[in-house]
Amino acid sequence: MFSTKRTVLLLMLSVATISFLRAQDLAKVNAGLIIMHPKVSFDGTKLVFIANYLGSLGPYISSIDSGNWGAPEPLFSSETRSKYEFRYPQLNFDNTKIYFSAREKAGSNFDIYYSELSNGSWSDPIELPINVNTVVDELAPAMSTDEKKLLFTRPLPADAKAANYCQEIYLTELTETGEWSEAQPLPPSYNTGCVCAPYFSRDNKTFFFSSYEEILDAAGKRLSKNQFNIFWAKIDGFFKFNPKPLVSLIGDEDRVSVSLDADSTIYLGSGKIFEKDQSRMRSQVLSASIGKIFQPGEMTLISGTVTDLNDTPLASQVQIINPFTTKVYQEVTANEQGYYQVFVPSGNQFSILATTEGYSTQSKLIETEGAEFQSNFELFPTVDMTFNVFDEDFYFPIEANLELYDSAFNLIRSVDASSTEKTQLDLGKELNIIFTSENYFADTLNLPFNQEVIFNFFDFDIELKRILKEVSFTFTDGESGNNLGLEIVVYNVTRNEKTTRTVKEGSISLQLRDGEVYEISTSAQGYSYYTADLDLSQEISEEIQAELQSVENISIVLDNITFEYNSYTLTATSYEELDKLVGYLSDNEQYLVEVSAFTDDSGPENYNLKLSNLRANSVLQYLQDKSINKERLAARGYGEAQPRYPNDTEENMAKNRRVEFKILGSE
Amino acid sequence: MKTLSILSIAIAVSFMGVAQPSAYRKIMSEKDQLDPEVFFAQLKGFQAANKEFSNVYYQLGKFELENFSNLDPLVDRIASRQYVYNSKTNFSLAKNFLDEKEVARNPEWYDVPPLKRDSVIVLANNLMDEKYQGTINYAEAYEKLLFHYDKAVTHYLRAREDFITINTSAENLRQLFLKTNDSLKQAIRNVGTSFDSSMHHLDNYRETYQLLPHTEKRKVIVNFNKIDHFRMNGITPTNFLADYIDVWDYKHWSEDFLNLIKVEVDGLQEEIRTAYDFFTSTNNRLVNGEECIQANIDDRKFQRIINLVTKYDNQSVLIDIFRYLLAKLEYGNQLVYERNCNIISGPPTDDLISRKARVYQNLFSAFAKTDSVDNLILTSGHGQKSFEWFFSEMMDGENGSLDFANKQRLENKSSFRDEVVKLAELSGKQRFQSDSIYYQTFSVNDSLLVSGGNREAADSIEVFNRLEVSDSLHFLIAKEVGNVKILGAQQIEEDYIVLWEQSTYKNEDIEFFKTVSDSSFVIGGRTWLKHISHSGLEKSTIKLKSKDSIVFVNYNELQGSFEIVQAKDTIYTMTTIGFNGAVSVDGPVVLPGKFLNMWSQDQSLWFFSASDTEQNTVITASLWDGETKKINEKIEYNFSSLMTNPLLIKNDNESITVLSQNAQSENEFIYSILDYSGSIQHEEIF
Repeated sequence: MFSTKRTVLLLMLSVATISFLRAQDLAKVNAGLIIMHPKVSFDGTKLVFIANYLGSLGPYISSIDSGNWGAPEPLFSSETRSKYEFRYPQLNFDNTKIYFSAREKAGSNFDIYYSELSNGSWSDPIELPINVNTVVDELAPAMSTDEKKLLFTRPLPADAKAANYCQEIYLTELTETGEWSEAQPLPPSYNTGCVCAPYFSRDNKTFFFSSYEEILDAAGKRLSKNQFNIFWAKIDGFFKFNPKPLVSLIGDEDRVSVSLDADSTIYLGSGKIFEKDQSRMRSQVLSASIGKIFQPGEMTLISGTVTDLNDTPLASQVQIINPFTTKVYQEVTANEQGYYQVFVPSGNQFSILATTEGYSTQSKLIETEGAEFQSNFELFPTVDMTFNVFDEDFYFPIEANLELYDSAFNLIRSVDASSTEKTQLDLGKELNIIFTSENYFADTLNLPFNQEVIFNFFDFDIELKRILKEVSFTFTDGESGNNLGLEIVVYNVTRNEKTTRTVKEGSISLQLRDGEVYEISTSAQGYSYYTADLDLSQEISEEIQAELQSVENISIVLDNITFEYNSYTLTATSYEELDKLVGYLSDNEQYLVEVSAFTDDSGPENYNLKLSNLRANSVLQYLQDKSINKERLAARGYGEAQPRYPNDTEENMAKNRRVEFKILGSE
Repeated sequence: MKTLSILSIAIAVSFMGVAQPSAYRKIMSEKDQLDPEVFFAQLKGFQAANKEFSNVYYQLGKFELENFSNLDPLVDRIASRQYVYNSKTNFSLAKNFLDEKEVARNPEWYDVPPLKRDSVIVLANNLMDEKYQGTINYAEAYEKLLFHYDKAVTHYLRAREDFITINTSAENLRQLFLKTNDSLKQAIRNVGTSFDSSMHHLDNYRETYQLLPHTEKRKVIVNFNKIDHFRMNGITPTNFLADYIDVWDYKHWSEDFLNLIKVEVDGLQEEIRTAYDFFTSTNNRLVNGEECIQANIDDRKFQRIINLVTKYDNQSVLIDIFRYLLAKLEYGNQLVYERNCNIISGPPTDDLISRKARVYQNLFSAFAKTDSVDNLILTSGHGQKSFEWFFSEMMDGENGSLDFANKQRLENKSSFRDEVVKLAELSGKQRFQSDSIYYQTFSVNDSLLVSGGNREAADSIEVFNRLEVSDSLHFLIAKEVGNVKILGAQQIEEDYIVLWEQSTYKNEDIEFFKTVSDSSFVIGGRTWLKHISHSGLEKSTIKLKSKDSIVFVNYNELQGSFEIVQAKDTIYTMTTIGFNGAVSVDGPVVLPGKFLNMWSQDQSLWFFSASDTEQNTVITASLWDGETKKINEKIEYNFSSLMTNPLLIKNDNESITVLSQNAQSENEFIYSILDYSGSIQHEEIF
């Protein structure tokens, strides 16, 4: 048993470590008759306690106001206050919850409750689950800043024969399934017989509690004062630090409680016992600095706001993630003002991720240094999208229709055709966009906007595949009907694109772009030139037989070559056919060619001969002007000789008026 | 005293030897029933009172080692370190304080089978050594494990950071490729290197983990499913790039991406450089050279570049530039062919002039196409932001593409003008008009001049104009003793050998000259026209009824007929002389301006005449109907410009060329193409 003298000595010893100041700034708090169980919030901005300001005993809150603790305000509605008897209130890490012990005044045991702040009001008390609350008193809840560990006290077993106020400390932890584990008493090294008022400091490892002893006078009579020894202790995983006495107080029963603010200033409740004529019910809150070795591990208070781009606050979820383990260290919800705060160990890297349904996500990798760290988030509900729609093969922009569907492919809206479409899309749900364009296969883009989106602008390139039509060509020798192996030029007139293809064994199947115009030509050696014009915007034959005319020792009649009346001047309509001949001669540079002209038999023979000579020469000159070397060319007029048909009808005579070319040999 | 002291120690030792085992035996006997924490507390309590009892250290060591092996080595670092350190210390102390008697008495406390005493002692000693050494190894391995894991994470985060930097450096893939430079390549390489380092340390971590006593190993699985973390758990514009190269291993990603860049970016750059270099060297030869060459344009290569550039930035002016290069080379090929290859040395007949007009029409088409693409460079609004390397490396200045286009436009105009002006020269030559006035007086004693002649007069011959028909034939217009003559002569240096000579009708001055066929020409004056062959033979002399000036003669070689137009002011008459000498006169025809040319088209005779307003020239086609002998239709071509002496040439039955000096600027040429319906297809000032 301790004596009073000894108690005083202990207090003096403690002064070496810790010195109390009767801080003036607690004056408004200490104005009541009874001030007990004060606990300062982790961030040091608020103080909750039980007090009697000339009325009934109930919970109060005071906030720092211009450096001083402001006038206390009662917590909870008057109905709630009158219904419950409150003990040991404590604010959680972001001051949005109060944990406390309470019992209904009707008379039951104390259990642990909490209340949540919503729209500026504290909710009705919510009881913690059965794993914590039992039929005996649960008092003095001490919640860790990560809200994963809870210390509280229960009375000693009846057979311990301890004093009424003797308690032992229990620990319960939040499991991964989100439930509180079965509460277990702390080992005997902590629960030394009669302890109370535990307090988890902000590092979630260091904690404080008080032992409690009655004081007897010299005659062995119990005094109305008690001995409180404040202990420092620490649990770091499996590694336990035995409790160390920190300070000793003599005070009223049940009045002591300890807490630390952000600067490790210790707050204690104490009955005022040293002044004469003071009622023992007078009590006060004391604050003091504690030595460095007793301070909790350095923590950084990360705080900030989550807003949209217009500074409208968003009640977002903010996750603090350990990037090394990818485990969520803590998850908090920003309040109605978009404000959040959370304590994390200093000197570490963390990812902070802010998310709100229907909004973007923002993530920051930070390194916590110092006591405070500010990190604001701006989230946005829509993203700007640019879709650039291209032809997959040639990359030129194409006009496309956009149709927006939800995840179940219900149409949301359509967007007019454009090759570069800018639009704004809402976040929060999965979108499917179907792009369609004439002559192209449709394509779908999935945008998982129900997932985390961190950018507000997207620029997508969509490449659509042109629908292809298959056209088969069979190239045969016009006389023998044998299939020919040769090279063809596939000229896409629309695109001005030329490709060369090899035809093996006479057949080739071409995949041609729908809606475009093609010219398929060949200048196979030994054969006359061949050209097929295909307009794929129209219905065309899917199988084309191309009969090539041999040029060996055979004169080929050039179609559509005409001259002005009684003249050797070529008409402009002849150019198209002549240009094909130019192409052929360019492709077959080895050929020496004779161009010959013929007339019908009307008119004098000499005249016809002269005319046909001049006409053949006109054709030769045309070829020469189109860069066919004149050394390869010969022109000869045959007049009315060598008619192909009898000059007996106008139709036959027209056929006899002709221009031919013949391969004379090769260079 | 000394004895007493020794005795005291002996008693103390004896006391300890007896008292300790009994208390300890009790703890050990309850070991299995006790809660591990309680057991541990009891051991600690015993150890506090018995500092030199080996087995308590051994048991503590085992207990702490087991705790160590049950912890998550990464999450519970402080505790893990402490346990393995404590375990090491306890095993060390257990080894130090090992008491052979104690071991022999309680081998089961040391996990040694109850064998003979010596064997038990040896085994226990060995076990202590082994346990101690084991914990030393565990402690070392544990530090190594943490080192490798932390390194793995650090490199992983660095790779991720670089990845995000790359990922966010562009709005889309095309931009990313466009921005590709050495620093971006390095960043991509860094992602690969960091990721690879991370994987290397992770391998070492896994290997080291096997050396530790932990029974349930913490798994670190890195694969495609887990890579979400790497991508920052979010959709970013170029995260699609990561999907594009479908690997989870970012070392491979980096390599694949660099390869892609090598092909897509470096390869394209090389193609662009090569093609542009080819253009610059070839273009110079085509535009300014004298060789008969044709550039081998592989238009597919150019088109490929255009396609690829379009792929990355369809707003890049480089597309327009490469379209231009293609058009310019095609124009250059036509230009050089006409200038250096297609040399025709025939007399300047209507046929030849029409033929050349057609050639220039084609050349103009190529020019116009080139010019329109050139104009696109200037006006499309396409920028040179992307492919910056091209503009800084291949072109000068900030306005590279604009300067290029302006320079090319001048070059193209100049080259076309230089070429088309030959058409005017040819037309002038047809009419014995030459820019340089020739004048020389030859003496009769000049053997060269007289050698081909047949004259006796002593006076000299005054040559006042000449026309080169071919190398071997020049026409000279001369006066000899007051008589006007035309001479056919061959030039040898400055002198001439006269091949033949023809007098004019009644020694009248020659007022009209025209080459009318490959082998003949006409000269004419008031009321007469002489048709003379190049060999000097007078083919015919036509006497005209009208004294009006001859403005036009057409000789139809096939028919052997002439059409002659004479003019008095704006009143024109046409005389037709058949092959048999039959003469018919039509007209008068009043034209709205000065006669330019005339030919048949669609059963009508088209008289073209030009008149000017203050601002512009109007060319009118007056269509003469041979049956009604009247002008029954007039078609007007209203030009934008004002022309001086326009030249009008038939190209064919669809096109007409008009060539003229610009009246508003002497140094400029107007080139125009007309159709037969009153439309001016092109009117371009050069």
